[in-house]
Amino acid sequence: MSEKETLFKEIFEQNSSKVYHLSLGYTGDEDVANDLMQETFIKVWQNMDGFRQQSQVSTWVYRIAINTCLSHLRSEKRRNSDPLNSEHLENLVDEPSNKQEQINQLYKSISYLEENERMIITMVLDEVPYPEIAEVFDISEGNLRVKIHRIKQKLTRIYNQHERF
Amino acid sequence: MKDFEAIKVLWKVQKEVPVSYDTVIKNISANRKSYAVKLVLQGIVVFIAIIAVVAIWFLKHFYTWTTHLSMFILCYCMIYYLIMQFREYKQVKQFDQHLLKPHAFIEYLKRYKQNSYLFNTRNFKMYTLGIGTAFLLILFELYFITSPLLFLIFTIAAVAWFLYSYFVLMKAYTKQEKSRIEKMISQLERVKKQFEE
Repeated sequence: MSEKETLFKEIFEQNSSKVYHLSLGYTGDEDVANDLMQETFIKVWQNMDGFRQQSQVSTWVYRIAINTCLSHLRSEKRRNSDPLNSEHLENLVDEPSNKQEQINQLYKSISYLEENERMIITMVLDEVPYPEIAEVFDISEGNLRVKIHRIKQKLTRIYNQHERF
Repeated sequence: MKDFEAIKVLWKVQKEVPVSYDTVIKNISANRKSYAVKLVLQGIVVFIAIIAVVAIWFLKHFYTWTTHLSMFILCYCMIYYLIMQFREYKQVKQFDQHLLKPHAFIEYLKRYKQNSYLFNTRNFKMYTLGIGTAFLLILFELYFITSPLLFLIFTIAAVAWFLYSYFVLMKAYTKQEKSRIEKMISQLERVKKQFEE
């Protein structure tokens, strides 16, 4: 295994689940999220030689992942007011358990958020430090905290509304 | 009722990423090859077409200068197409834009899509006009070497094809592309607002 491959494997192992969650939160479709995750890592591989260590590797990977998701928007017709296709959410696992149903419900609730809110909240749920999220989105930490507070309330409200039914 | 902390606990029990490192590495290699293969195949097809036109041009005797002009236009259109395919391939391979900040990236996407729309519609118009003109120029040659009936059939077919391409196909393509780009731009504008401080 070359030095590049070793480094790439390390980057993949440390970031793939977060990138996948971000993509799934953004699209609500497991297959599309898979494609976006792979597309992100293809770009990571292609840009590895140009990475200048000016920021953390994870910040750099997130930036690519977010822009890959935003590119996907070009062909999307869905609006945030439309619930995600429930068929996709039901197919997230082959044998849905109670826990898995709750996770599906959570992703469905995320789908009701605005695009940037979906991205921010998946990063918060994956416990990405706030300064890193602020750097990725190019906003001040103060502004981010306000946004996160609002998104948390919004998501909790939507989730609980749907859980009752 | 769940509070946000309960949601966080729930988030942690998600299943693992369904794609392994090995799959991604395989796809990286396949992705690189598929781009190259597509480009080489397109290049070969257009190259064969250019060789065929050049061979006809030099091996066959033509009576009128208009046919020579027609052959030149056909070759020019095909070479232009080949160059444009290479340029697009080079653009697709540029990934620097994916490191832009989200706000700047959305702006880049908007510009890229608008430019690509203008480029594609302009190219479509150019090919239609170029190839249509080339066929019409060949008619002068046909006037001298075919029977009046065949000449009439060729003329009607060439004019019909030209009119159909220009007024039906091109108009439909432009209309469809325009509506698609307008939807995309309005969506990008909407998302861009979300990323403003």
